[in-house]
Amino acid sequence: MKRLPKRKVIDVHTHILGYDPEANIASLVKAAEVYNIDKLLISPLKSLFSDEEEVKYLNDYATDAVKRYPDIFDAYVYLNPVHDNALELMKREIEDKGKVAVKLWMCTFCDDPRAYPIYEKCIEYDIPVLIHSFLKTVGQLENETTGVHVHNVAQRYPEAKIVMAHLGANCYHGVKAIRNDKNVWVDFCGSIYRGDDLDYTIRQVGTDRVLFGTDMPGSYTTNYGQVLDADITEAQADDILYNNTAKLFDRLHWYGR
Amino acid sequence: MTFGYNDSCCFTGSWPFRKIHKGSMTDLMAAHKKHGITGGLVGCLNSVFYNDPYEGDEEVAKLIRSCGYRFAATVNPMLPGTVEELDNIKNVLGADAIRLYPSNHGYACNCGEVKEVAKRAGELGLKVVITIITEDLRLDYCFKQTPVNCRLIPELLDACPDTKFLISCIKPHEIFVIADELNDRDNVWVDTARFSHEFMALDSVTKRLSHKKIVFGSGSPLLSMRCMLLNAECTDLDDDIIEKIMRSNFEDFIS
Repeated sequence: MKRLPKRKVIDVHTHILGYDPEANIASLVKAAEVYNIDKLLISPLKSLFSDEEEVKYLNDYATDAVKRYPDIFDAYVYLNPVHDNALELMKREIEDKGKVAVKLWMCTFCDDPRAYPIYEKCIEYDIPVLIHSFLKTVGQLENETTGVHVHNVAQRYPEAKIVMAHLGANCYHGVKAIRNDKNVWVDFCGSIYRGDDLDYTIRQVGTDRVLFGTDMPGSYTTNYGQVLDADITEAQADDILYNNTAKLFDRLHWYGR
Repeated sequence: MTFGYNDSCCFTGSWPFRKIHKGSMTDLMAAHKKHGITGGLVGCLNSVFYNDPYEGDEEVAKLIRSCGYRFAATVNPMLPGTVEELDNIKNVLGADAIRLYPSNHGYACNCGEVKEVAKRAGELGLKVVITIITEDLRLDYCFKQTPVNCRLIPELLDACPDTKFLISCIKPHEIFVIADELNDRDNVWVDTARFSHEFMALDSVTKRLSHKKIVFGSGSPLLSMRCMLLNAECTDLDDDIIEKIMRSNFEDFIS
């Protein structure tokens, strides 16, 4: 197996999917080795609308994965804003289980008022919240957040540290929506890899607000290749691949990897 | 990476839905040179949405060939006079292949018009490239592509046994559906331009599809070239298999 040259990398967006978590963990561990990744931030996902039992199961699984591979993984706490116990769970996962940030997916639009207490708690803890954001021409899912929803949250909570995932899928829509929200960072993870997307994004928001992520257990090379292809300096690439995330996620655990 | 690789899926020109910042032949050649790619099959993006694609191809065919690349002319089989135009595409434009865009032009790959064009192309020695998608369907803007049913492709392959086909921008899961049919036929190859969704996609595709049928394609500049190159750089596959994917399989297809 050929490996990528050593370079400091934090992957801000990977998953353990509840349908086959052990296979996902194995893929992520292999990826860390093959691609020389310093840290993978994992979030556990399963149903589009998880019930309380599933949310607990997923977060426990992520906790266990971090315990098994502490030098590779850190984890988000995954929350469903609709649940009455969301804040209680968040407190337990952040304070007792070492989770480093919050992940919101598709249980509600991110600007649903039921999510407000979560943002307020994130501000209190001074931790980022990663928000799935994906505008589709076909197949838009119920409660699937777009850049416009993220913008609404950013406006309401200017102190919140928000990461808009996937560039909002269509960067020409998502990035434009949050361009002037200085409290929104973006990751470009996932299967969208148009040739100009990353350069376009950097022209809109600069390199300081761009974070490297992959959405693994899908492809890693797809998103890493975009960084290598971008019209940026090596220092700017290092910022995207590592420095910006290390600065924003200041609760990451390091064990000398 | 060594020298002399081929890119079977690359383009020059403009695209109606977003600005292509590196769309010239100079840009493409510079990117290729950086990664040891010295040739390939180039299509013209402008022509895809022209009422008469030939007019767009005329503008660039000579330039592409003068750069040492092979030219893939844009063809819409549903337009009148297309079969007759193939002679000009071969003899005037000097094309090596025709590239079809069924998702953009809205037809099924097994329809009579496609078979007729593909058959005549084979008689002229023109290879036929079938582009499964240009943009990710989820990102269409103003104009929606028609999803291509890849299960219909084997019927086209059988109808034109003397024509060489390249299925371009096909995703691994779409290959898996017809992998047996592709393995059984010697007139078809696939490119790597959309091997983007899976962990180590090249490795997983070669478990189902003969590596002899895979040619490197970047999709550049619509897609990021390095993404697909890294797929070939970081793999468990033997070096000689990678060499075939990056170089000699393309020569088998285009020869």
